[in-house]
Amino acid sequence: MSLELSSIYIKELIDELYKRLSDKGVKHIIINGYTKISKSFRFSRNKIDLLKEVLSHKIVLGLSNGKGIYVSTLSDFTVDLDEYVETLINTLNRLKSEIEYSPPENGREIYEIIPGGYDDKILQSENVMNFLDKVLSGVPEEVKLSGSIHLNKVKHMIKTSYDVEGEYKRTYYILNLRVFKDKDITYPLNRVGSSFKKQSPEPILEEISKSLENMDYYNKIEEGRYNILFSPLAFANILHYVGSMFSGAEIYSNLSPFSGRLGESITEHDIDIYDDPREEGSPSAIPFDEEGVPRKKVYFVKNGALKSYALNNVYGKLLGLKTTGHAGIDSPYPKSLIFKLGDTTTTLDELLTSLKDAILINNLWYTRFSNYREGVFSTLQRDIGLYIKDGSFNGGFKGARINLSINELLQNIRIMSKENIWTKPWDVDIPSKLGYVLVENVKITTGV
Amino acid sequence: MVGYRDVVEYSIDYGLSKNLDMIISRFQASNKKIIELLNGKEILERIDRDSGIGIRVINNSIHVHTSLNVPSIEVVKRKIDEVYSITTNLDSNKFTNVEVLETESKDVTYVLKEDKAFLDYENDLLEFIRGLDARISRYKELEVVSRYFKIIYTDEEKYVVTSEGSRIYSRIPRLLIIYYLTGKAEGRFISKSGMVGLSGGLGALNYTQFEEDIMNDLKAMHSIIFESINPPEGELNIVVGNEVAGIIAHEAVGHPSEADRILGFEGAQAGESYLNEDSIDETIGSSQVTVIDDPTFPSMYGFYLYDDEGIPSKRRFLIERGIVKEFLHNRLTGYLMGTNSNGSARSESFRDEPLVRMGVTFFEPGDYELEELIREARYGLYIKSFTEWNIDDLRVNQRYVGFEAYLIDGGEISHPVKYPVIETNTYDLLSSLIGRSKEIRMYPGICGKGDPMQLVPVSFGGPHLLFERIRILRR
Repeated sequence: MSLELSSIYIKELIDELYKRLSDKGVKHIIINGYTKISKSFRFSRNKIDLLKEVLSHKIVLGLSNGKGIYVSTLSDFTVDLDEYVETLINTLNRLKSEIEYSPPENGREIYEIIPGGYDDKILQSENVMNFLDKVLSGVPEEVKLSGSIHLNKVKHMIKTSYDVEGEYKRTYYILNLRVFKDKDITYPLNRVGSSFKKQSPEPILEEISKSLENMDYYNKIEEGRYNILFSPLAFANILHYVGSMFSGAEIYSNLSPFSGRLGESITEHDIDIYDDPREEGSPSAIPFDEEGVPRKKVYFVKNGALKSYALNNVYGKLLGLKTTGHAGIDSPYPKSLIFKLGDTTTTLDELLTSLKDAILINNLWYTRFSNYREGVFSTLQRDIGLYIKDGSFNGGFKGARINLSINELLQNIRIMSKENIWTKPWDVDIPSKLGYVLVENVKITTGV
Repeated sequence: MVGYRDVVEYSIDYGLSKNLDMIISRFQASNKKIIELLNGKEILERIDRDSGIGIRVINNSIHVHTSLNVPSIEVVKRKIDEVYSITTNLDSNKFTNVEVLETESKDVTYVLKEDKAFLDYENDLLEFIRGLDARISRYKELEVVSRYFKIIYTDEEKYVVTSEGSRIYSRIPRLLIIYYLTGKAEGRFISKSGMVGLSGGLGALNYTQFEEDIMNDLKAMHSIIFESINPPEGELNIVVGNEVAGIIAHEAVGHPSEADRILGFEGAQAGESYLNEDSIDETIGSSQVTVIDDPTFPSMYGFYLYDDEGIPSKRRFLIERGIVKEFLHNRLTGYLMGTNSNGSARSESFRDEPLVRMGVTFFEPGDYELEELIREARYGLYIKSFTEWNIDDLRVNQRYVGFEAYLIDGGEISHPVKYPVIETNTYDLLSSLIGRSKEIRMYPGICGKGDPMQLVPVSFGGPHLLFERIRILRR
C-alpha cells in the first residue's frame, strides 16, 4: 500500500506542543512522536482469514516542574490543543508527588538508524503473499497451518527541554505459526527480526517436515521430575517474565525476586542476560529511549551475577542509580533479552546426543505467578513435547505443567545449544535471542 | 479538520459506491486517567487520549480490517480504494471465504450515566485508598513491605455504522483498581494481587466490600506464613468461592464457547476449544452446570449493550443444565456456522478487528446457603480465593491455586491450608458439580485474545460451588 512514514504532521505537532508548554513555563518537557504502519496477514487451516493494516500516530509526553513526572499519551488528533494543554498544565500543577525530578544529562542529538535495523521495503505485501503461497501450498495435505505474519515500520522522534533531540526508523516482523496434524497434535514455529526479506519458505517447510517425523504418537506425560530441554520459543516465554522482573518499577515496588540483590551472584552458572539494540537481526533496534537516552549494551546478569536493573530516569533516581536507557517515561522495561550460557560450543545435535533421559518442551503459555516477590510460578506446555531417550527422540507427550521458581530455574540451568534465534511467544512482549536450554530436575504435574 | 463522525459516514457512503459487499466503520475513542500509589504516595499520574477509525470490509469473500487515526476524508478514501483493489485483485480461493447475514438496521444511542462521576469524585477515592493504605501499613500481624494501587479510569466512546444502515453510538465509563500487596515474615515474602472494577460512576463502588477483601487478603497472607497447614492431597470434595467459580466460568466454559476458536481462527494465538461445531446439545457437565454470558448488567466491568458490529448483546446460555446450548458469535462466525451473531464482537481499540469475546460470564446461582454446601462437603476444602492459574490450548487441562483456603472437617470450616492446588480437567470438573449457593458475586477481569493481543474488560463470577472428588495437589 502507498502510505509511508510521513511524519510531517507529527513533527509539527511536537513543535507546537513544545512551544505551548514552554510558554506556559513547564520546566522539564519530553515529547516523543511515533508514526507506525503495520500490516498483518492472519491465516487459519491453510487459508488466509484476515488482511489487516494499521496507520497510527502517537505522542508521548513527560512533564515535570521538579516534583514527580506527569505522563500523557495522545493519539486522538481531533483533540482541541488549547483544551489539551490546559488539562496538562492543570494536572501538572496539582501533582502531589514527592519524588524529586531532574532530567537526564542534556545536550545530545541522535539521528541514527542502527545498521540492519531498518528495511525500507518491509511492507511490500507481494513478498509475504508469495511466502504464504509457498508455505500454505507446500505442506502435506493432512497438515493444517494457522498463524500470522506481522510487518511493522516505526518512526520515532523526540524533542526535550534538556536539548536532546533525535529521530530514527526501525522495522520488525513477527512470524507466528502452528502446525496442526490434528486438533491435539501441534507444533509451533516462531521467528522475529528486523527484516522479513531473509525469510524464505524452504527452511520453514523443512522444519515443518522435520517436526512431522515426531508427531505420530503421543501420550499424557507422567507426573514427576524431569530434565527438560526447552526450545528457544518455550524458554523465551519464561525469560520474558525473568526480564520483566529486572524492571526498576518491579524492583522498587518489591514485586521482584531480584529486589535488593544488585551485585549478588544469582546463579552459580555462567549465565549472561543482556539487552543490546545492536545485536544482529534485533527486532528492537532502538537507538534511544523515551527520554532520549542513548541505548547501549546493558548486562542485567553477567557471569551469574546481577549487574543492572532496567531503569529510566525516575526509577534510576529512586533506586540511587542511573538510567540504563530503558524508558518508558513512566515505567522502564527491557526492549530485548539475549541469553547466553557460558562459552557455548555445543550444537543442538551434540546436546541431544548427550541426553540419556530428558524431555523436549517446544512451547509454553499461561505463565502465572502465585508469589511475585519470590518468583514462584507455573507454566503450561503448548504443542507436542518429545521424550528423549539415549540421545534420540522417543515419542511425544502432552499435558505437562511446569512448577518452578525463578531462583530454582537459575540454579538448575545446565547448558544451551550453540545455534540461537530471535523469537517472541504470542502471549509475551519482549523478544529474545537464545538457543535450546537444558534445565534439570523440574517438577511436572499434569491436570489429571 | 473534519470530525470522525463525518469520516465514518463518508467511509460507508464511499464503500457502498464501490459496491463493497459489506462495510462496518467504527469510531472508537478512549480517554483514560491512570493514578499509581505506592506505600501511600502518588508515584504516577497519566492521561491517555486515543481515537481513530477501524473499518471492516468483506468483499469477494475476503476479509480486511484497516484502521487509522488521521481524521481525513482523503486518507480514508485512499484506504478504501486500496482495500477495494486488494479484494478484487487477489485470488479469493486463498482466503477463508466469509460473508455475513443481513441484519435489521438500528439507530441507537446509549450512554451509561455515572452516578458520582470519577473525574468529579476522584479525590474521594484517593482519600479512601490512602486511608486503606494507612490501615494496611498498621496491620500488626504481618509487615506489609509494599502496597501498590493502580487506578485506571476509562471513558470509552464508540460510533458504529454498518453498510445496512445501523448507527450505534455508545459511551461507557469504566473504573478498574488493581492492587498488589507484598508481606514479609521470618525471612520469607508473600504477595497477593486483586482487582475491583465497574462500569458507571463511583456510586457503584462498594467501598466496604473493597476494604473487607483487602483485609481478608492480609489475614490470608498472615495465615499462609504462620498458621496454615499443608492441604490433604488426592480426590476431595471442595467448595469454591465466587471468585474461583468466576475464573472457572471464564476459562473452562466462556473461552471454549467462542466460535472463532471453534473454527480455528485463533489456532496460533489464543488457542482452540474442546468444543466443535457439532457440540450444541451435547452433555458436558452435571445438571447443576448452567453458565451464562450476559453483558447487559449496567454496573459490571464487562458491560455493553451493542457490539462492535452493531448487534445487540443479550443473555446467552452457554451451558444449561449441563448441556451445551449456544456459542458466542460475531457476524462472520455466525455466517460460517449457519446462524446469527449474538452480539459478541468486541475490539480493544480502533486499531483492532472485532473478535468474538465474552462480556459477563457466570455460573447460575442455586438454592443453598454456603453453610449448607460446607456441611454437604463433610470433609474436604473450602477454597475462597485463588492466585496462580492456567489452562491448556483446548481449555481442558487446568489449574487454580487457592489463596484463602480452609480444611472442611465434619461439615465445618476448620484450619487454614496453604496453597491447595486444584489441578483437573474440564470434563471431570463440570461433571462433579453437585451444589450451588444462592448468593452471587462478580469480579472484573482483563481478557487477552487476538494477534497482536487485544485486551478487553470482562466480568466473571458465580455463587459458591460444591464439587465432589476433585484432584488436589500441594504447591
